[in-house]
Amino acid sequence: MHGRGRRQNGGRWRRIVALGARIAAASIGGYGLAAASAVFLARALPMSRVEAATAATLIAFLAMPAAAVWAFATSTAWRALGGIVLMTLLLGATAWLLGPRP
Amino acid sequence: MTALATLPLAFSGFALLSLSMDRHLRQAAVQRHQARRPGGWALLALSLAVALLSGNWRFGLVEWTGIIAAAAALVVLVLVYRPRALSGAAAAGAVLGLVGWAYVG
Amino acid sequence: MTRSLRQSTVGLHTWSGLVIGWLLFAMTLTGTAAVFSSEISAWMQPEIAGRGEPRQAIEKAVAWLRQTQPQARGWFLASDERTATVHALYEDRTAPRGYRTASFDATTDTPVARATMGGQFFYRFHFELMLPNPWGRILASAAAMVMLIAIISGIIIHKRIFADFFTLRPAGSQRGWLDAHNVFGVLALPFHLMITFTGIVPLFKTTLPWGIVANYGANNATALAEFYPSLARRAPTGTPGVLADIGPMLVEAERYFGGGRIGRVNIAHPGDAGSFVTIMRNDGDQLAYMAQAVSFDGTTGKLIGAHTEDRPARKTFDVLYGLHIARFAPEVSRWLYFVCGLALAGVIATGLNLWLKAREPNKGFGHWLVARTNAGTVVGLPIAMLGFLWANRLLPAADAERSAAEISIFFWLWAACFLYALLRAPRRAWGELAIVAALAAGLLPFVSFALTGRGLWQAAMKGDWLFLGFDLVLFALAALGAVIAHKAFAAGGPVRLPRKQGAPA
Repeated sequence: MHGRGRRQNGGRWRRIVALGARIAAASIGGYGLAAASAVFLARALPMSRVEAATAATLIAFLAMPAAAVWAFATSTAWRALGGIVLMTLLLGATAWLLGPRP
Repeated sequence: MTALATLPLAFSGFALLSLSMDRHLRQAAVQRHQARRPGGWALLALSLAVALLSGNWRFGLVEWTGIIAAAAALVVLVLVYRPRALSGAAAAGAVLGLVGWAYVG
Repeated sequence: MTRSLRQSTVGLHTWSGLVIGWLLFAMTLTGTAAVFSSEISAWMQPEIAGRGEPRQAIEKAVAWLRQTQPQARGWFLASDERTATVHALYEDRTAPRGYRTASFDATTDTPVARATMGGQFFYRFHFELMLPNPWGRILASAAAMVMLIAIISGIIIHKRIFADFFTLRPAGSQRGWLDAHNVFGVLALPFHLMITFTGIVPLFKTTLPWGIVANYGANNATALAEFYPSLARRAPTGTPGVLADIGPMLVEAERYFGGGRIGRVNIAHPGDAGSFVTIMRNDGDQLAYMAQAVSFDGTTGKLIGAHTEDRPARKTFDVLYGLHIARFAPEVSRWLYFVCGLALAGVIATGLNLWLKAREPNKGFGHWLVARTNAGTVVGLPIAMLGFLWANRLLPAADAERSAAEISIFFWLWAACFLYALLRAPRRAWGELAIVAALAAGLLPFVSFALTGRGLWQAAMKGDWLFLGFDLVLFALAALGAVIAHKAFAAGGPVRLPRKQGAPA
């Protein structure tokens, strides 16, 4: 595969970078999404603060593998990275706006 | 000892399900039969019902998810070592399961 | 799914499996052993007969602690779910970890059992890897999270998951190994998914505390109080006081539990006027962990608090935790947990071997390293675990620091097996180490009998199911080791399954 022409090499590098993006989205992105989900749900769920925090944690733990699988199933690597980052920012911002529970 | 009923019933259910697949039909040297697939599912459902109805349904459900793993593994072993005995074993399992169910109450 | 995406998912499964495979094998095997941690602890303290009522054992323990540890800041007693033994933990500044344990049954006035971590060692190694807090837990949790992804990606890429459900073709080809990997994985899939997820959840305080932090900020004390009301404490007054009789408190607790059993008894500041007794229900009574608790004023014995966890999300958490540590499980369920745990270890071991098979015959450095690490881990770890049991019998019972020595021997043995596997050709390492494991398992019952007097024959005669079962499991493991050794030497490759006569491929 080496030295078969710049086009082939460029394609190979592009695939490696794309794979790296998916792995980053699945692992770091997945954890970030889980953390943001936990914070958002802990503040948004209509329960007492300890109940909401517990439910939020359990759901967030489910979000992680879901995000990882989605990061690999979705059509392009950039959708994977972008989608997870966007969701994380949205959830985080909403949680910040909601503020801590009384 | 609910397992005395749930294990043979689940074994029989899985055995019938495996015999509804062409590959295992040929291994066990039996003919195709329409009733096997619904029969297999029915026996599995019966096994679950026995598990849920016995005393603590929560404990029963947890035990049952392990029992079906063991039952399926037994079917795999029969297919590896004595495939021609499978249909007989399925029948024996169903009988043992029903007897076990009567015993467990 | 398009072909390149499928390839990516296969890649995800393969590489995530390889990166954490050895660590996960260690966690799975020690976790599987920990299913029987009470029994292992009882075997490792043969001085305790394990007879009588747990309530009497608790009273004996408290009586001894009153006499010998009156100034401790706390006494923590745990009544085992299945063996009639109570383990008492108390502060001792002369001890290497700052505390010691003493074990009692209803007939023990002075604890004489040898100091050992017992089955708790396998349990602790399983989730802490004997690394300093919190690094061990973080690593173990991370591995478990990757395992969840490996399982889910495995399900996605398993094209013929239903058609191949019962398929186990003869070994000697890559299909055979793949079939074994799939069968171990698919047949016990509900267990594998459950045990992985429920293993991740309890360590959330270390790995995903953000839900709690979002609502409580840095206010850990309030968070703990609302999360675990049973663990409410109060500060010592500073003036001395006498602890009331524990017996009536135990009776009162059992009444609150509706006939349920006592699990843990925590006594805070026993020598203080503000002493405080918390009694928790036995985890063997229900799925949920720490389901009920009552508290008493220490000096008067008056009931001052009671808690039954019925908040939905909290209870869900407790049930998930309880499902993982399986203290609730009666005999059949317990053995099923054990067998499914072995199946999960089998998934990982066959998976690690598949990685090798997929790369033959182009073997590079990766193949060289993985082949040897597989042997060093998959056979080396069981040898280390058996060595831990041997050390328990061979080290002098009276030595106060023998507990740490048992653990050291475990690690040294594993390191030695690992080194051996690095230096030998993989097939020979598998065979030779398997022989060592088989001998270690098969001879232990006899050595144990010679040194403790509690052996297979006595156990069978007296109905001592624990010692009987233990020896039988050791013999079964020895047989397994012998089979693996035979296959490794005879077939010219690592473990294979026997060929069926005249079976279609």
